[in-house]
This record gives sequence, structure tokens and C-alpha cells, in this order.
Amino acid sequence: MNHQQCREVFYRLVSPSLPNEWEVDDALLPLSQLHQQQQEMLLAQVPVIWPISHSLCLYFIEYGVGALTLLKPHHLAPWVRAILGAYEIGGLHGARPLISDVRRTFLEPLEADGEVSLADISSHLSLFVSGVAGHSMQVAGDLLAHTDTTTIFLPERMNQFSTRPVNRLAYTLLVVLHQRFCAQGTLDAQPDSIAAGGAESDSSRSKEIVEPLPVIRFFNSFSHPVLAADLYLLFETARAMRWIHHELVGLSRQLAERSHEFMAHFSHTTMHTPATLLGEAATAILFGHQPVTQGAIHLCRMAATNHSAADSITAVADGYRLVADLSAPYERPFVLAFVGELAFAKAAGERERQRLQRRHRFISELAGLLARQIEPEEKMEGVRGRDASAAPPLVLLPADKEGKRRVLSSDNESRLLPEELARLAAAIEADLGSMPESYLSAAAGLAGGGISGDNGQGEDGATSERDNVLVLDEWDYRRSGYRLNWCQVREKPVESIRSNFVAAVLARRQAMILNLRRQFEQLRTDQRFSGRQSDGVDLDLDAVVEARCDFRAGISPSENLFVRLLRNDRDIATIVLVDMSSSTEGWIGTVLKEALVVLGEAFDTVGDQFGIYGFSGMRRSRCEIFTIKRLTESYSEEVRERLGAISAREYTRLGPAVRWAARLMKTVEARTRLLLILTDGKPEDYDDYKGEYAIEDSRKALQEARGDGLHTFGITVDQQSHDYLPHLFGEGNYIFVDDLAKLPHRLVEMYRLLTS
Amino acid sequence: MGLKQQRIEEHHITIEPFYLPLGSEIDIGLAAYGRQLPLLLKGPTGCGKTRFMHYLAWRLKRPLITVSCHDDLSTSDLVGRYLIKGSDTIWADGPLTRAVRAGGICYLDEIVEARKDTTVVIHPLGDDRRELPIDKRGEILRAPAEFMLAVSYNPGYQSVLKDLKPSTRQRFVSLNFSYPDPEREALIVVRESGIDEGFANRLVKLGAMTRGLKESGLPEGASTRLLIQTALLVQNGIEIKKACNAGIVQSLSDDSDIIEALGEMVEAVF
Ligand SMILES: Nc1ncnc2c1ncn2[C@@H]1O[C@H](COP(=O)(O)OP(=O)(O)O)[C@@H](O)[C@H]1O
Ligand SMILES: [Mg+2]
Repeated sequence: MNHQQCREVFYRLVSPSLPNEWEVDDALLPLSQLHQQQQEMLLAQVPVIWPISHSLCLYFIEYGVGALTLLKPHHLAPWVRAILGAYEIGGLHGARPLISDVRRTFLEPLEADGEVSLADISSHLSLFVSGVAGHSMQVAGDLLAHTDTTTIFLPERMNQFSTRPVNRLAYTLLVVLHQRFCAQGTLDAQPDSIAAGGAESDSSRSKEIVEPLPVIRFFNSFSHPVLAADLYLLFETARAMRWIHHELVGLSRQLAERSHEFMAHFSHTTMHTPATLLGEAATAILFGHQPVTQGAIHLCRMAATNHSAADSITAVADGYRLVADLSAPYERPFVLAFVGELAFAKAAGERERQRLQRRHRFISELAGLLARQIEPEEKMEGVRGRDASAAPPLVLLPADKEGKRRVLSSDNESRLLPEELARLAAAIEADLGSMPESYLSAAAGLAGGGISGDNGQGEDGATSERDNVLVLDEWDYRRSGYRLNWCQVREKPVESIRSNFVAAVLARRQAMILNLRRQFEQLRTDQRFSGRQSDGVDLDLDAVVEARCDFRAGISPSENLFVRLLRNDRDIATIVLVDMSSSTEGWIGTVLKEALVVLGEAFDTVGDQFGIYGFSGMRRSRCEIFTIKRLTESYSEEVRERLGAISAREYTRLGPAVRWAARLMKTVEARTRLLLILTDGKPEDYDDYKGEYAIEDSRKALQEARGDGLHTFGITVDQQSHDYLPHLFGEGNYIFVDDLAKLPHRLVEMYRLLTS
Repeated sequence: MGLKQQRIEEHHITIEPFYLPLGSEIDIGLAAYGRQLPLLLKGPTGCGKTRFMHYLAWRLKRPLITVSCHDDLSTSDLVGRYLIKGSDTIWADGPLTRAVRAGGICYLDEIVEARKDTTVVIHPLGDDRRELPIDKRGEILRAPAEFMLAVSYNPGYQSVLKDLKPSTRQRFVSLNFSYPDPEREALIVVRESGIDEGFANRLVKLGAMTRGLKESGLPEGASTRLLIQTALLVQNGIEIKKACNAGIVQSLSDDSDIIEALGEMVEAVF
């Protein structure tokens, strides 16, 4: 392609943007010198990079030319991923070297050192560590390895060791070590109470986090706090390694086999500084190498006798005395930097965050349980004082013989906690020692119902929980990975408005609705007989007669003489997700609402479970779900009024809405679960949720939903284009309605076809 | 639908099945039998429910008739039906009827898999009437004292709360089964497969790790049964990691990330 052609292609790729001609011309100049194939390779990346940064993209086209001669085709994707990653961290400045000096910044680390990048293995490394932990844990990238107890952070790249298998093994080792730090209580060290000689007191645990944490204060009391912290890290690493040797024999064996390759990297000097002593002890502990220096031998011996985090804390002072009299400034040894650091504050913060989350969930779920007008399970006689004024408003009873938990309210009515809630209660008790009274009274207060006792403390938790934030990941196709905890989805009620909208629709569409009722009633009669079966509920007379005739005629008669009742219980639950973005302005008020009213009648006739939810919002921090009809709610007058009140809102971030609905569906029991999506165009949000990114995320969300066993189906009235539909919904999983007036009819017809 | 009419004696269990008790389930099971109460066993697949029933039947010296429930199971499949043989019609008892007549134990495995209209036939058997109506023959069978009804279900993948009506549920004595603790699970693996204890311990460790992926996309981890099968492969000379791959990793998932993670667990444990 000559310069002019390259330019045309480029403008087409970035449309509808119209970048400055002179900028583009400069950037494209080197490109026009290349072979067609190479030109195409570079240009193919434009749609990936342009939406992230225009200047990065221009720089990439201009200077990426040089890189092409060095890169092999399979490098291209990881290279672009690395560039985007560097851009996200360090901006244009951070990303440039990866483009202009690809050999040194990308290829050498990759090829010469057998580099392993975390992005390539994080998805199964997190599964692996979840297995080791026995519960779900995440893996993410950061400079130094550390953990906040739910996520283990590891370096983005591992290239210190000379071969790929060793770098890979290093990741496994680190992830297990940090999981152990969570599991063996390394991050819970409470040196204050230990120093006081007493057992751990509960009061210190439930106290608000004050800075700095006792353990940090403890390290700060040494003149080299980092050395003290490293001694603790060393001792705790030794405990973790003992566990590995005992429990993960395979990993232990692999480490032994690769020991010399690890050792080659952590060389020793003959100088005796605290750092070299700790380094020698650490390599000995990690890779089974024999320590030779007296100080290191001592440290290893000390490490071998610690059996708890408290032991290790106590040993810090001894260790410090042993090494610190070699007075020298302390700089962390390589090998301990490799192990990483103990992020006490982060872990405490995470613990606090989880504690709050548990509190919110417990209060709101318990309140929900109390508020539901169910018959109390049973009257409990004389379990506590009958005097309601003296008794606390709610009592959480300990588990009974079957492990069931109940709450007892002041009027001596007990309610069974659902399993989920009982587990939550157990987690809270495990964390805090017992169930705080304030949680129970807050739930009672929130539930209202005359059970008073709310001290106001639970109020904040209750209200923020009431708008129910769900944090979801979002798919970024450019890096083939999820952006973790990216979107916040809130559920909001739709205020019902008294209007005669529904009545008017029902009147206007009377004929259609009658017809539809007949059709759907047929679906409801859900039994059909099938004849000539080898067995069944009754004889198939025709077949019997025929068989007799055959028998008389000397032909061996058929034995398939039964009718069998085939029952297809319609066990269907459907969620209808309605696009309430501003682009629906023109039709949402009329045709769409009308279609929903008609569909509602159909659902109601056939008796299927259904929910109707609108979605809209702006930016990832405010994705909103509007509840029009809950799945569990009956199709009441109020629901009909809410239908009448649907109106156009903001943008269309489809992915989070689909994920939200899929989550909701997980709680639904039905043999067939269907997600119907009604939209008027491509997914799009105010931020960079546009174009391919938006389509790919939405597509991914739909795939996830199908992975969860849902059926998904899209109905769209996009007037402009619909070439993206097969890609988004999957072939055969959508329809396009070009005549708006037909929407009510098509929608219902589609539902009938899908479910019969 | 060739309904094999096994003679009832063939369901007698004559050799003591190996069953390692994990709690007081044997005592409760025997007590329930003594009091003519039906049993409900719940727990994940492969954790010993069926084995427990075998053991109980052996202890009680009653024949055991097991029916695996599924979607298409009809009332006739349980109670019985007329069959046509040549030009005659003959009545054939279903397994439930046979168990009632013989005073045996009828074990309906995975009861939630059966449709509700099928399982209603067990209702009058499950309460103190203890009778089985055979509509087609206009007959009502009263269960002898030796008869016992037992059902199982796996709460993991389908909650039965809605399927078994609370009124039904509450007639059953419930036994909750879960995977044994590591020591006992290893003991079971050793007994069932004959491999050495150290190896069994590691298999059990691996099993526990797979069960940690519950929230991460693997709803059911390796069952005791899978561990035993893997151990048997090893006993037959298959190399350990290959056996784990065939017996556990590939049996649990088709997802490539999960398979890779499980593979890494195997590498870490062995
Ligand atoms: N407590 C136990 N005692 C002896 N064997 C057991 C025990 N638990 C599990 N097993 C072994 O596990 C296998 C699977 O158990 P099984 O009873 O078939 O599971 P399920 O719960 O699915 O019915 C059994 O064949 C047996 O080898
Ligand atoms: Mg079984």
C-alpha cells in the first residue's frame, strides 16, 4: 500500500474520529515503506490501541515499524498487551520504550530469560491457590509479592531465573507461601498482648483499626524496623516451607530438583552483614541449601523451633540480637525481596472490609427474614425469660442437633435461618467470637414489625445495603482478561404511577390478547399421550386390536401396545431485561411498554415465573437495574402500574446488566431459565464502553450466562445496523424487529416459540 | 423397557460390606428401622450413602432393592405393570412392590431426579399408614414391619426443599453425609483399593484441594469414589500422575483453566 492507501485504511479504522491530517501523515510515513503483510499486521492493532489512547496509537504506528522486523507473529498479541499494560501504569512515557526499544524491553526478557508473565498464568494460578486454600482466592499483579488475604499479589513478570520452568515454579512457590501466610496466621500477629504475656484478648480484635497496627509498632521499636520485619518474614517462611515439605510433597520435590538453579541466582558473598546472613538463611530455608556461616546456621535453628506466629514474633528479638550487632545499614537481601512482604495494614483493612460486608449482609438478610410475613416456625416455650421488656429484642440460638440455627424474637417466636444465613452467622461468630448484639437489634429495627431495640448503629449499614451494590468484573477483549471489580450495579425500585396506560393497552389489544391467552393456555395443558409404547399408563386400543389381528393371522404381534403419558411440566423462569437508555426515548413510552404489557398477560396465562427489570446508568460506577417486576412477585396491579411508569434514562451498559441477571437466576429453581434482552441498539456507555469493547464485554457476559445454564435471547429494534447481532447474541439467538408496531406481537410469539 | 425380574433373594447381602462409620449414622439407622421410620440420606455424590445402605441391609439381614431415580421414572416403574407376553397379560411387580412384599429395604437413590407425580406413591408408605396402593389391581399392600423405605438426594446441585414437600420431609429421619475427614477418608481409600497409606494420604489431600474450587467454577470436587478409582488405576500399574489425570482431573471438568489448575495441584501433591 502506498502512503495514500495507508491513510485511507487508517481513517477507516479510527472512524468516526477524525484525527489531524498532519499528525497522521507523519505517523504513517515509515509504514508506507513496509511490505503489505507487515503493514497489515501493524494496522490490525489500531482498533485495539486507538480507543485507549490516540497518541499512543500514533506513536505505535510510527515507531512500531522497527519492531516488526524483530517480532515473530506469535509475539504480537503479548507485545500489544504489554504495551497497553505499561500505558495503564506509566502513561505514554511508560509505554514508549516497549515500542521504540522492543529488543531490550520486550524480547530479551522474554526469550533470553525464559520469562513467564503473570497475565498468562493468573487464571489457573488463582484456581490452583483456591484449591490449596480450600476457598476462593484471587491472583493479581504488583511490584512485590504480598497478600491482603483475599488476593495474592505477585510480580507481573518472573524472569530472574534462567529457564522458563524455574520461573514458572517460582510463581507456584510464591503463591503457596503467601497463601500459607494467610492460613497460618502470619498476618494476624498481635505482639502487644504477647508482650504482655497474656493470651490474645478479644477486645483488641474487635477494636477499630488504629494506626499503626500493634505489629508495625512492634517492628518500629527496633532501630532497624525493616530488619525486624524481615526476621519475622524469615521465620514465618520457614513455617510455611515445613508445611510444604509435609503437605505438598510434589512441590517440595520440584524445588529440590531445581534447587541449584534457584541458588545460582541468589549468590553469596563472604561479607557478613545482617542482610547476607538473612539472605543465606532464607536460601537455606527455601531451597534446602546448607548454611555455612555461623549466624545463618543460628537463624535457621531458631526458625526450626517456631510453631506459631506468636513464636516467630518472640524469636524476632533474639534473632535481632544475633545479627544486628554486626552494625551496618540494613538493605533487604534479594531472596527476601523475592519472597515479598507482609502487608499487615492491607490485610487488616481487607478483614475490616469483609467484616463490614458480612455485617451488612447479615443485617439486611435477617431483616428480610423477619419482615417476611411467614408463619413463625414454632412457638418456643420458656427458652428465655418471658418478660419481653427485659429480654434482648432478638436472640440467636446456638445450633441444634441437626446443625440448624434459629433466631428467637422477644415474643418467643423462633424462625429458622436459611443455610446461607446460618453460614454467615457462623462466619461472624468465628471472626468476632460471638454475635454482636448490635447486629441483631439493627436487623430487628430494620424489619420494623414492632420489634424495637435499634440503637441507631445499624442504620447506615442497613440503608447502604438496601440499595444493594453488586461489584462485577468486566471483560476487556484487548487484553483477553477481566478488569476485576470494575462495575458497580445497584438495584433501584421503579415508583409505580397510577395511570390508565395498562388498561388502555388491554382494551386496544383486546383481540390479540384473547388470541394469545388461548395459545398460551394450550401450552399450559402440559400432558400429551403418545401411543405404541412398550409400556405406559393405559393400553393403546388401536395397537391392541392390530396385535390381535396379527396374532390371528399368524404373524408375531407387536408388544408395543401402550399409551404413555408424557408430561412436560413447564418449569420455566424468565427474566426480561429491558434497555432503558435514553435512545429508547421515542419508543419506550409506547410500543415497548405495550409489548411488555402484552407479554405480561402471556406470562400470567401460562403461569411461568417471570421478572422484568430495566437497565441503564452512566459509567461503570453507576450501573442501574430498575425493578419492574421481581421474579418472585405476583403480577399485581402495582406491577402493572410500574410497567406504566417505565421511562428512558441514560446509557446502555449491557454486560453488567446481563451478569446481574445471571446472578439472580442462580437463585432460581427452574428446569429452564431464560434471559430475554430487549434493546434498541448497540451497547454503549458514557465512558469508553463503546464499539467493539462494549460488544465484546456484552458477548462475554452472555457466554458466561449460557455457561451457567441459562438460555439467552435478544430482541432488538436497532434501526441502523444489525450486523453485530449474530456475533453478540450468537446465531439463532436473537431476532430483529424492523416494524415497531409489530413488536408486541413478535415478542410474545417469540416467547411462545422459545418455550414450547 | 426390559424389566429384569430378579429373584428377591439375590438382593440379600451375605458378606459384610466394609463401611466406616463417620458419626452415629449406624445407630440412628438401626433405631429408625426398629421404629419403622423412613430414612433420608443427604450428601454429595460418592460420599458413602449407597455403601451405608448396603451395610445397613446386611446388619438387618434384609434384602436391599435400589432404584436409581430419573426423569422418566413412572409410577408403574416403581409399583408394577401388566406386561404382554405372547397373547397373555401378566402382572409384574415393580421394585417397590417387591420390596414391600418381601419385607425388604427399598432405596430410592437421587429421589429428586424423579418427577413429583411419581414420588407421590411413596407418601402413604412413608407415614404411619405404611401402605402401598396398587391402583391397577385395586389392591392395597400393607408393609410388614421388616419393610424400610430409604431415599437419598444430593443437595449440592439441586435443592430438594421445594421438591420434597415439607410435610413429606418431616416424616423422614435425616442423615447428613459429607466427605469423611482426611484420616478416615485415607483409611477408606486404603481399604477399598489396597494402596499404601502414604499414597492414600496424598490422594485425599488432592481431593480436598479440588473441593476448594467450589466457588471458582467447580461445584463438586473429587468424591471419595473418584479417589478410590484413581487408587485402583495406580494399583494396576498406571503411573501416578497419569492415573490422577484420568481418574480425577479429566473426570471433574472440561474447562481448560480448571484442568490446568487441577494438573498443577497434582504436580504439587505428588
Ligand atoms: N464411610 C465409608 N465407608 C466405606 N466406604 C466408603 C465410605 N464412604 C465412601 N466409601 C467408598 O466410596 C464409594 C462411593 O460411595 P457410594 O456409597 O457409592 O456414594 P454415594 O453417596 O454416591 O451413594 C463406595 O463405593 C466406597 O468404596
Ligand atoms: Mg450412590
